[in-house]
Amino acid sequence: MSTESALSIRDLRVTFKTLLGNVQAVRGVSLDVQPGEVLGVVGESGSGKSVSFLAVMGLLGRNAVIEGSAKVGDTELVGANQRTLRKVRGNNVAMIFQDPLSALNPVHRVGAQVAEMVLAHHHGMSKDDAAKRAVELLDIVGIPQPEQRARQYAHEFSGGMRQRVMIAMAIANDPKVLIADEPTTALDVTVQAQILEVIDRIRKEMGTAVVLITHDLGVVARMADRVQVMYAGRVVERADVHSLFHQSDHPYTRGLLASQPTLGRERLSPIPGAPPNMLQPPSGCAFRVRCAHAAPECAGDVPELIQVRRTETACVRAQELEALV
Amino acid sequence: MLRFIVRRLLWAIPTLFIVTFVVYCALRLATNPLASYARANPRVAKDPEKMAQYVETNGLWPGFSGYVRGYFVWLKGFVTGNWQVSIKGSRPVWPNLKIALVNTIRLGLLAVMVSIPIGLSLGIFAALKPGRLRDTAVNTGAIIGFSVQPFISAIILQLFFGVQWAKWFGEPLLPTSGLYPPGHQGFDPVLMLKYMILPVIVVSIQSIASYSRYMRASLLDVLNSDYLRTARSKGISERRVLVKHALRNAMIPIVTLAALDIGAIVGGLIISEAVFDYPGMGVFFLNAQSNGDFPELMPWMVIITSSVILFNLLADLAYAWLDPRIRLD
Amino acid sequence: MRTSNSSKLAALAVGLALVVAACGSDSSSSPTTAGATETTGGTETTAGSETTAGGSDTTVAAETPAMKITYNINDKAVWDDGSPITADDFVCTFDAVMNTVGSLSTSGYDQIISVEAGESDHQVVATFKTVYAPYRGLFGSLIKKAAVADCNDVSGDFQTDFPFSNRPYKLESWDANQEILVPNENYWGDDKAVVQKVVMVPKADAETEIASLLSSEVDFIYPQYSPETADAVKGDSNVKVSIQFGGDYEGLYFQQNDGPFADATFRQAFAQSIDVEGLMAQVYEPIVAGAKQLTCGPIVPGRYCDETTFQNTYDPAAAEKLMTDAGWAKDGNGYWAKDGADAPEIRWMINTGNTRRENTQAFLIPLMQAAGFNVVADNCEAECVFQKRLPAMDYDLGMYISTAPPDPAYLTGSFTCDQVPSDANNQAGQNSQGWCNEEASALLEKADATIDLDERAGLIKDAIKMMREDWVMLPTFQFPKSGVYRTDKVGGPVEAELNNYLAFINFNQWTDVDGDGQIVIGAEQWPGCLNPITECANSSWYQWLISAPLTMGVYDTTNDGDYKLTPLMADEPVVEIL
Ligand SMILES: Nc1ncnc2c1ncn2[C@@H]1O[C@H](COP(=O)(O)OP(=O)(O)OP(=O)(O)O)[C@@H](O)[C@H]1O
Ligand code: SF4
Ligand SMILES: [Mg+2]
Repeated sequence: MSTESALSIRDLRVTFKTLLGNVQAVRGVSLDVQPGEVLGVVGESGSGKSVSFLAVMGLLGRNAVIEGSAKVGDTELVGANQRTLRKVRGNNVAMIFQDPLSALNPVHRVGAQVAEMVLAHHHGMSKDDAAKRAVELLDIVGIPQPEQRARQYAHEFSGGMRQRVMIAMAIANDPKVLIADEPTTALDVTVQAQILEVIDRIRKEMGTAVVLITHDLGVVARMADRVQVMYAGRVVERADVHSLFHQSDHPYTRGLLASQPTLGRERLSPIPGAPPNMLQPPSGCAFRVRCAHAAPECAGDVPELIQVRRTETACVRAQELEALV
Repeated sequence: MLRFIVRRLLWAIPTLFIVTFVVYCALRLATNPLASYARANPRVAKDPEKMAQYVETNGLWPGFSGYVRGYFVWLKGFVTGNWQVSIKGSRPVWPNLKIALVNTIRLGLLAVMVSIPIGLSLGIFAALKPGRLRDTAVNTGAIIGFSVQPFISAIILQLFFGVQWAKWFGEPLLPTSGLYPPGHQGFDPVLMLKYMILPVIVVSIQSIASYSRYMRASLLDVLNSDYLRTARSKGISERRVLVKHALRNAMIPIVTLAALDIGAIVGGLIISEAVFDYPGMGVFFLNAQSNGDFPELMPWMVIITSSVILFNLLADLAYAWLDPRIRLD
Repeated sequence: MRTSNSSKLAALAVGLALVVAACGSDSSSSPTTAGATETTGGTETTAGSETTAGGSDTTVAAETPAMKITYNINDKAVWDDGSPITADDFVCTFDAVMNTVGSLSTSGYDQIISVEAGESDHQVVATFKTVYAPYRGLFGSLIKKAAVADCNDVSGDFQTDFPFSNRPYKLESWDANQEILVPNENYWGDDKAVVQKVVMVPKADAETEIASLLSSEVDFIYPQYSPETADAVKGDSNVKVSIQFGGDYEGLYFQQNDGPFADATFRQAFAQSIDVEGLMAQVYEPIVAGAKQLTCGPIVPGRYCDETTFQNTYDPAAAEKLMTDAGWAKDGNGYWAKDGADAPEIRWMINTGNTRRENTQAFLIPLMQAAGFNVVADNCEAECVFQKRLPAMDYDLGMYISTAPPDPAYLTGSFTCDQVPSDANNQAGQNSQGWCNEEASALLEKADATIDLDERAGLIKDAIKMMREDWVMLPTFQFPKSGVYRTDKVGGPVEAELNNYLAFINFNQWTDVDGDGQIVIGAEQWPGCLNPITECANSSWYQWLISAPLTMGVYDTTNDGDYKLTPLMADEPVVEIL
């Protein structure tokens, strides 16, 4: 199965060396994304969603220590040299970011930025051809009058259009994996929908594996095939979308679902407490300090993902709690 | 762009009027041109008629309205080329001022040409490995460089390359003052450069320090920016990331700063010039100032302020040129 | 002096150095200006520049000739272009001095009725309306008629050039950077130029002067003496310091126009309580080993000096008796007081930053207080001292350096009754001691009208004796100048003329030891312009750098403070009293 995966991550660990100590931002994440599949990654702020995938791309700073394995096709990215990483980046794996304004270079024309992506992996290509291809790409992501727009700067675009530019850039080399880190968070609702449509269309047309990182369970419900929930640098639950929304077995996931406004509830019930300090994550289940069901055994071994009902859940009491739902 | 330049130039005119008027008033209060003239020309001072005539021709009437009228008298003379003559010996001011200006521009530009590349390189060098030894070294160096006042570095350098060197090896390694060796006549670029080495070093120390600090800060900002992460995510070479994306952006505030800096050079080398007996604007100012020579000080001030205003405009243009987010109209 | 320099640096450091005026303006004293000038230590500052020479104001203006001088010009005397020097040039000089707008000083010339050619164009006859004894100071330099457009106004000439010379050297170029002198091939005298090129370069202050001497950039400097100079060059065996005693002298002055010193008894007792010998040991000895007290008055040793006049002024017992006899008694604080009034406060003014004078205050004030005089330091910046408070007589006790020109006429300008600042002289009088002794004034004025040198010296000495009797001032020290030079660069009679009022005037005879074809002289002050008639000429350095090296007149000054005839003259001018 893993050989077919577009992206395959095994026991990924990321530790930041800081003045205060080692921040264990990611503590053993594993996942597989198949071609044409959308994997939703959800979790509270600080749970290690971005860091996991930036680690895969090799985009973290020097103070990050990365362990484990991340393969795109047959290429191992953890510990790979710059040459290998460069070949993969933008080519096999592309990434789009939350705030498209700050993610685009303010002093380069939009078309040139897209063309640069093309040229980066087509060494023989002429600048003109790259520019033409850039216009094409802008057209593909639904930017009207792409030729004129290509000559403009990022600040002359609306938020949605900017994100389209980012997508155009990301898909320039038909990547196998597209990592979208909260692509719609900065946009208003109608634009959000348009952007998600573009991503979905591209996935369909090109068979791209998409990793969709988000806070927004509504987005996940609409887009994702499978979901994995992260907490304190670990995956705490994993399932297909339907199962997760309807038969989650992890108290944290349920908390998340309960706090979502989009599910038509009258009142939000946010999860009480704050995420743990990743300098010294709690032993055992990291969620136990906030978990309403915490019991002494939760402080024991770190719970692994196990199949409970329809989801894989990392909760030692999952079986007992089933009854409570 | 053109409209912007024209508009800014048009704005510069009233600005210059206001600034020169303020400078006029301040200088008249500070130097008391009439008293200075009387002091320099004691015999004329005893002749009330001649003094009255001096007041009339130079517009040195008292009171606010006298200042306003006097300003226009001065202005008319200034723009028509009939500058007021120095109180000492009734000399025309421009010939000496011109020489001083040329000398200072030469020194200042050379210092800029030395300090900007070095300062920026050091800043880049430090920013590429923040927190490492090289960064600490550059930062410490910059702090030291900042705190070394020109007259201190000048004296240390003069003592070392001039006096001590002469003691050890018979003759000094580098000349410590003047434009040329005494007795030299005519233009000789090599000799001239040799005489400018120490003054340029002294002027450059502090600018190198400040440019390296600014460049480091600016580049670090850019290196931590989202668009640099985007650039890296494209799989282009690190070199291209740095040059095309990071430096281009990091240079924007630096170019602005440099333009302002260059504009201030004309009046900013007073101390260094004095210590090196370098006959530039600084020495001109000190002499004029100690004589209370209003007719010499006023054009000096006009040149200084015009240069600042002009380079402010250039800084804005450069900013707009480098950063498409800035709109000029 | 060290303090003066470092305070200058400090001022520079502060920014625009708006206080530099206090340390760095020109000093004035020229042979044609007959007034003594006060100078502060280190760099010099002018205290007024124009004085009216003796006799001029009191003599009833009469156009009847009183004196006639006939000058015979040497037939061989020519300008550097070979054209002869004639009576026309004398006439032109006279016209330029008298009529040029902004002419610095007309003193002496204003006593002349006419200057004309005599029997030939090589004879000049000057007719005076008074008998004018300081005449040797007149026509000290000449203006070449052919070189100026209008002798009656030369203010527009000499803008960038000094287009003539009758000295061994002529000016090749001059700018803010350097002055270059080359031999005048047409010079007729015996003392022809030795070295092919003499270069003068500006040096900001004593420290840069010394640094450039030590680094062989200049060959000779002429700073006001300070022990630091000697220390700084000690390590270099090729540098020689020659200490010379010229016209500079320092003294204490008692302002007696008003304030506590208006009381003659009080003033005398005060002066007699000053331990001058202690002061020598304490303050001057550290500056120059073997320092000897100056005892002739506001003048330096020479023809007009009587060294006994100010000897033994210190007599505390006599002072005590004087006070007691006059009804003074010490109050609770130990200060002399009288008639139930408070003990008078004596404001001692010096310019701040002058270490030597500050040391003097530190030494004397406690002693004077112990002697019963409530002396307080009341100091301000040089500009305030010399431009404001001295002319306004706003002090009680003063201390400063003056430079005595060779002719004693400056005494008339500084110590006669009608030079006391008053409305009559537009408050511009130079007698800032406020001393008015009609008898002494008459003596000084008579001296200026006495041609016979010995007779004149007698009159001057008598007048100075009255200064001692009236306690006008106490001379302290003839202040040294120093010539510092590199023996590996320059030779010949370098030290021969350093006492001269015209300083290193004999540089034309110096030799080029290292064979680089030039002599380089560092100048502490750089004249901003070249005009010999206007304000440009108002500094010693102008005289030393421009007028003395380029123009010769009737007399030159000598190393021992006298005058000697120049080669311009065929014979000694004939003075006739009419
Ligand atoms: N360079 C770094 N140095 C130290 N700690 C870091 C660094 N980058 C991230 N972290 C820490 O790693 C943890 C995970 O951060 P990450 O950005 O992956 O969170 P996230 O799940 O993406 O949250 P969000 O929803 O806010 O984007 C956080 O606690 C963060 O403080
Ligand atoms: S392991 Fe314990 S603390 Fe953690 S989620 Fe399950 S019940 Fe809660
Ligand atoms: Mg994130």
